[in-house]
Amino acid sequence: MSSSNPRGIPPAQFFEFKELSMEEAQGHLEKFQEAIAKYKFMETSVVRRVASLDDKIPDIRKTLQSVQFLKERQGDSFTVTYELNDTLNAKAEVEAKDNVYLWLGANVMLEYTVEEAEALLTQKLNSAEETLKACKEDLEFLRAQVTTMEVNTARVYNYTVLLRKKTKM
Amino acid sequence: MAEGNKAVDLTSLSLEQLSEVIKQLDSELEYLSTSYGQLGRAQLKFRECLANVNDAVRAENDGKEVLVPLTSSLYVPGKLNLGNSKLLVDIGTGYYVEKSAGEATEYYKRKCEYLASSIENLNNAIDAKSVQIRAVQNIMQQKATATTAATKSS
Repeated sequence: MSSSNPRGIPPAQFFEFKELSMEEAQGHLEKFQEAIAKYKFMETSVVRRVASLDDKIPDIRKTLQSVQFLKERQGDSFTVTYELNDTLNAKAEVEAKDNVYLWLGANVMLEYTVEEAEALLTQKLNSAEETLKACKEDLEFLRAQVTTMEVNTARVYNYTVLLRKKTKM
Repeated sequence: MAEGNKAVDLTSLSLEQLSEVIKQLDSELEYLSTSYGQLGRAQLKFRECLANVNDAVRAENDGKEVLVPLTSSLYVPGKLNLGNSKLLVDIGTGYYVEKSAGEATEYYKRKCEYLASSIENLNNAIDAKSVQIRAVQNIMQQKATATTAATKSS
């Protein structure tokens, strides 16, 4: 696993120590807990992005395939069954013309030529797939950093246990 | 052989047992309320479908220009094909049935009526559960009052 991250997530350093006072150890433990919390927060946000992309990508791919189908069948007319409601479908006659309409979200729909729509959707699909790949890399990286910080925490905590034992003796 | 449900005299139960009974009744009430909500949403969906059949799928709309959704984000111009074509109705578990507008209307009406009766039954069950919970709470209150009075007198 690489020690740096292309998206600028700071790597966790393995904490080397020989001797620590109780106060220093407590301070380090607090820092480690804080770092773990930050990494965990980043992890949940990346997991959310991955889930959202996993939903979006099949939809974009399906739309792109439909546009390519319309491009191949230009000039032809055919009957399609479309969804009127969740459990109700009706038939419509469609003529594959040069124009299609893409719903972009935020109450915006734009008219594109088939070529423009294909180019836009291809670019969207590539960008979404790249983002997904990056997110998955980030997820692996974050999990490795959390592990490192947990190891640091465990080592310092065990050291404080030893210190307490020594002071009792 | 499992015995049938026996009636229990609530006044004979201790406060701990009564609080357990309330917990159980609360969880049952929560389950019934969730089911009530789900049935309500399902009924709303069927009502929408009924409205769609009545409003959109009319003979005078045949051949009208519409934007046909090919996917959730792709629309193409097309003409409604309602002449003698049938509607496809999803009847669940991946089965679709071809029905005429009249048959579809009949189907959705039947569904709405069935759900309405189920909702009414659930409503009655929810009311009965609420009454039971109130009864147990009253008994608990009486027991608690009696206990505090007994400790004061001693």
